[in-house]
Amino acid sequence: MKAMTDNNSTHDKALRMALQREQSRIKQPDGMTERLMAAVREQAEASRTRREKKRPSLIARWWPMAAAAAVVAVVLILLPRLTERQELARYEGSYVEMGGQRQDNLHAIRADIREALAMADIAEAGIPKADVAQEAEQEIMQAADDTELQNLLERMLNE
Amino acid sequence: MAKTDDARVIQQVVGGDVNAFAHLLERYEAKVYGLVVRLVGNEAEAEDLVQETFVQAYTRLSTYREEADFGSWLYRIAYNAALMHLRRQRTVALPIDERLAESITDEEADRTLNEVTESRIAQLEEALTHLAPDDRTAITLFYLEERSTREIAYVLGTTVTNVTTRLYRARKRLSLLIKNAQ
Repeated sequence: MKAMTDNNSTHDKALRMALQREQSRIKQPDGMTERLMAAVREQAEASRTRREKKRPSLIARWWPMAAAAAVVAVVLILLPRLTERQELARYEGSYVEMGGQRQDNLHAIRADIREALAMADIAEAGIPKADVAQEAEQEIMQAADDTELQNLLERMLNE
Repeated sequence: MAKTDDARVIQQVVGGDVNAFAHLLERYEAKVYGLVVRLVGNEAEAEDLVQETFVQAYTRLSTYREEADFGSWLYRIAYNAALMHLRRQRTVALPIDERLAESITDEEADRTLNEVTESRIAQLEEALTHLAPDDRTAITLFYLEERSTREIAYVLGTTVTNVTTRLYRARKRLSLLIKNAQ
């Protein structure tokens, strides 16, 4: 087989000349360059229009980002505040509960004192019942905690 | 314009400068038109196909990966466009008796293709029009454009060995066509 890797060989002169002659007869149509460039520009414009049609509006492009930002804001800002309020409410509940218990205790103590005073024969000692009760009540109200209250009560009952 | 200039222009076009494409047109349109008009044999159809080629090249320019030089890449698009056109038109090349073509000796083919006379050149011009599109493309790119068998293989979408065989057989077919015409 004739080696076909060397296309600069001197072989096939007539064939080369025939091709060159044929080439010289091939005349590019007038204005073809302009028409080709116009077609390419038209294609570029069509591609640009298609891209713009496909591109979503500003709002449509940014709403997922805005939604994500809102979720992050809720997580980072609002949620800790809600938790804080819940904690506070729980604490307040405990506090109110504790206060209520103390109030109940006071009522019970007062009732006990009144009963004890009624049972004791204080009138014989010349001290008005009402004054004793008032004085005892003031002491009770000033008691700092339940232990002190308990001690006070015991002391009063023993007197 | 060197290969690096092509690469620079391609970058400009891909970057959005559509006017830079004019440089590529100036460099390649005549060559592409020459190949296509040989393949389809009709100037008006060839111009349409050249337009299709360059519009396709512009659209797909961002996918050009320099696996071949830009000219070969364009030839490949043009060749495929022309081939599709010929298939739609069901144009068939002149049937050549392959057994008779094979009977032509290498020496006889050399003599036929080397004889530089007015009549021989005219006969060859006529014979070229009867070759199949693949052979016409291979012959044109090899002898006129002086493309390597590797580049031609890329354009035709085949192997270097296939191109070498194709060129060898095309020479014998041309010799047979001339012998038959005499």
